[in-house]
Amino acid sequence: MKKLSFYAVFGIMSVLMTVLVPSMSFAGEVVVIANKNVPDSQLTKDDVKAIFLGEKTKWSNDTKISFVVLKTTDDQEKFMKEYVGKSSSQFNNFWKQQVFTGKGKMPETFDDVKALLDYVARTDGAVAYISSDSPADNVKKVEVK
Amino acid sequence: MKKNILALFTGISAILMSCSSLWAFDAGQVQIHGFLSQGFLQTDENNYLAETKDGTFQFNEFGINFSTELADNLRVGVQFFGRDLGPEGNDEVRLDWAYMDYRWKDWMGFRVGKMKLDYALYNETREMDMLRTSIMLPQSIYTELWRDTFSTVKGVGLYGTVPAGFAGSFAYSAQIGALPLGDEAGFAAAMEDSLSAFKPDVTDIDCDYMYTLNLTWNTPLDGLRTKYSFYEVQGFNASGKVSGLIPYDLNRDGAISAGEGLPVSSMSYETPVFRGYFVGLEYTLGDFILAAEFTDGDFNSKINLGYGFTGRPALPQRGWYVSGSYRFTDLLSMALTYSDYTPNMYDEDGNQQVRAGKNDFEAWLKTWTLSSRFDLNESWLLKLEASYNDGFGAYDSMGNNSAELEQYWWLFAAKATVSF
Repeated sequence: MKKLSFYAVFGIMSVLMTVLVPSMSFAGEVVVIANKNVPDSQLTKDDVKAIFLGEKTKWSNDTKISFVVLKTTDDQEKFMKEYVGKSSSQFNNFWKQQVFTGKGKMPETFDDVKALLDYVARTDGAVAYISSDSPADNVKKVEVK
Repeated sequence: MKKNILALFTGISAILMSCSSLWAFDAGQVQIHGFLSQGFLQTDENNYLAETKDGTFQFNEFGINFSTELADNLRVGVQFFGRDLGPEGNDEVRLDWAYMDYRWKDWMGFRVGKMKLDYALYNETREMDMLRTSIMLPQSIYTELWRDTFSTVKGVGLYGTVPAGFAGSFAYSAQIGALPLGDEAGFAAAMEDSLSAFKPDVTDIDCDYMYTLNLTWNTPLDGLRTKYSFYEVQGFNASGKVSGLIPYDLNRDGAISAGEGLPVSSMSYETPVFRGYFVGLEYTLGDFILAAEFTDGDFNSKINLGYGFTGRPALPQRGWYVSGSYRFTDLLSMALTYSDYTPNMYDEDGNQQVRAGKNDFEAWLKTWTLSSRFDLNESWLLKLEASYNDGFGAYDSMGNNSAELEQYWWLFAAKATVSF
């Protein structure tokens, strides 16, 4: 009876999952950018995810990674879902968990693309994302495989 | 104290309602975060964790933390925390965690100090209401009565994440240290309830150490992770005062009369080892999160009521739950959870409870919970929750009279939280 209950409940949840999942489509692209002194010009999707979840903290030359977040709604949502596998709210929740267990600090955020680009350009080890439409003269684009 | 907390809560909420994005204060290089929750509990039958039949506001948590990076790899921080849930906590501010974290490599870091106890999917974050949709965590895994004892450990920890290519990645942690056992905490209350025939008052409770081992597999399927946790508590012991009689045929007439027995006044209780494990799964698909966990554990104890140690019956416990949570809009999230808890697998049908003069349904606790969460802005949220329960198979901190317990009962909860 217990096993039947477990399977019944799990089955209901699974059906709900397939029915309720929203369709995802992106109107444009986001690109990953980094400070020009960052040694790595290519990252995997797993690397990007690990960086933004605090699991990868060093570049290939052992220098510190400083990632920052652009809080414009569409770009953030696109980037989080495509690269990190979380919605923006789930990403915020993840970092709140780190903060309230002492494991990390909230990522630095920017509402303005220009301010973010200035930060990345002047900060060694910085990495972020922007819309592919935004000019990115003082930073380098990182290819994501 | 309650009025002050409510006043503080009102003040902070007024500020935060007017500032939709005011998250954290940065005093130079020191980050400061905090939260405050105030809730209300009401049951239609049975007092559960507090005087809930009459409705109670004795249900709140608050915390503030300070942290900074001393170097690229080195963090230090401290969090103060207090809570109230019926007879537990009473808003006493305690050190929740305070530790140094040295991240030597991505695949290995060290923690020293008092840290959140890592086991199961959500134990580390159980104090922080704003990090989940539901108000109450499933009691089959996250027993409220034991929360104070099993929320932190003072010692050392090892952790890291190891990429595994096509297999995803593995995150591990290990902790060893001392538990914050206290004679006023929930674990002592659970002991007193289990020995209620002798009206015990635990005056001393301790253990040698506890350790946990955790392995999380972040699978190649995006959003799916599974976690295995193992724990062991070594050298648990408790002592205190008791009163009553051990039934005994003193006059050797072949029968034990009412009031005939060996008087008791003190007790010693030992559990050389108790251990258990948790297996959990969490799958995030868009705005839907499916979580399920299972636990199994047992302990063998002995007790001395002044006439030598005798073994207590083994208590293999089992619990599991399945939960689904969905974020409909920026404002509204909802969750549905089923939780199933059996405190003693040797008494699944409750016959031992009946022989002890209790109800059979005190051998299990099965709960359906519907939760709703309203995120008013980034800092303020409100939750409403209804739980339908079958059974009362949990250690009873409220001393309910078995004859007055009802098998089927509702628990309603409301909670408001501000965080920064």
